[in-house]
Amino acid sequence: MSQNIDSIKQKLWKKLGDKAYRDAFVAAQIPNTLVAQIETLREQRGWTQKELAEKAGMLQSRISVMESQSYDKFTLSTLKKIAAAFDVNLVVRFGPFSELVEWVASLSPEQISVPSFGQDTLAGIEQKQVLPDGYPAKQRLVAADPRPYQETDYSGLGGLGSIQGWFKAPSSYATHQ
Amino acid sequence: MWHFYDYIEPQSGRNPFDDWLRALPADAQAAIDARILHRTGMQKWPEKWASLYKGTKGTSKIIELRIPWNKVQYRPLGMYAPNHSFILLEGAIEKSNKIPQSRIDNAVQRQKRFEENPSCVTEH
Repeated sequence: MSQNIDSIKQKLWKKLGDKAYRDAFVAAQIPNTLVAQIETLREQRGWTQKELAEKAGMLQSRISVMESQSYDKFTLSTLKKIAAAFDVNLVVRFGPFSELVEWVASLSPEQISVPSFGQDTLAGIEQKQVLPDGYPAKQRLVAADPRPYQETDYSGLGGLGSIQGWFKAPSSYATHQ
Repeated sequence: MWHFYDYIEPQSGRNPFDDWLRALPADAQAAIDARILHRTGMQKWPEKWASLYKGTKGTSKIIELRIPWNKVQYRPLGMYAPNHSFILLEGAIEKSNKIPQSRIDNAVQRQKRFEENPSCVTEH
């Protein structure tokens, strides 16, 4: 017996042709993912519900309810608190159904688990970027390195040279030790 | 990754779980499909999502998937099979914390038939 992802995608895509079906599918998919993620991320970190509640500034009883399979009343405010407690990104945006199908059909425990910032990596950047507060986002993209700031030479990157200005730190920070 | 299969009646070729599912409102079908697809990708199946139905006699091990949707308790009934497979045998709606006995009986009978003839399934 075997089942392939393409078959799952094809069947789901066909069913999504029904407006009532796809509206409900979106509504059902959100709590499925969130409930599983909250419990998974908490357990991966070795936290009890009480510990997560303390870190998120919530009651343990609320965490318990949120981890119950029938909970579907998540608010953005609550999700932001939970994301901050886990130190992970929170993605809330509208997207195409094709993206949903890809996500659902290839769902795995690895997709559900999310590293905290301290364990996270950004491709191509070896050193963790820790940004001083109070700097505009574009100008904060400099390494929190104890050495003095030095502007990176992007001249070898052709057309990308125009983005140099983004990375130029304010003079006060450039000389900061 | 888990694999879901529908039990097929060997003689008639009927797919009882699919018949049950298609008779439900579209939104309920979506909620059930969403849960099944989600479980497909999950290694762990906590008790809150899927649990052993405790009302069967003998050696039957019927598993109920717990799917609440719009204040209705949907209960796809099935069984675990080798290689991370789950066979959907029947569907039911729980009322007053009870699943209709006829649905359980159907699931138990189909479980026996499946064990005699494990090829009588199709991809969910």
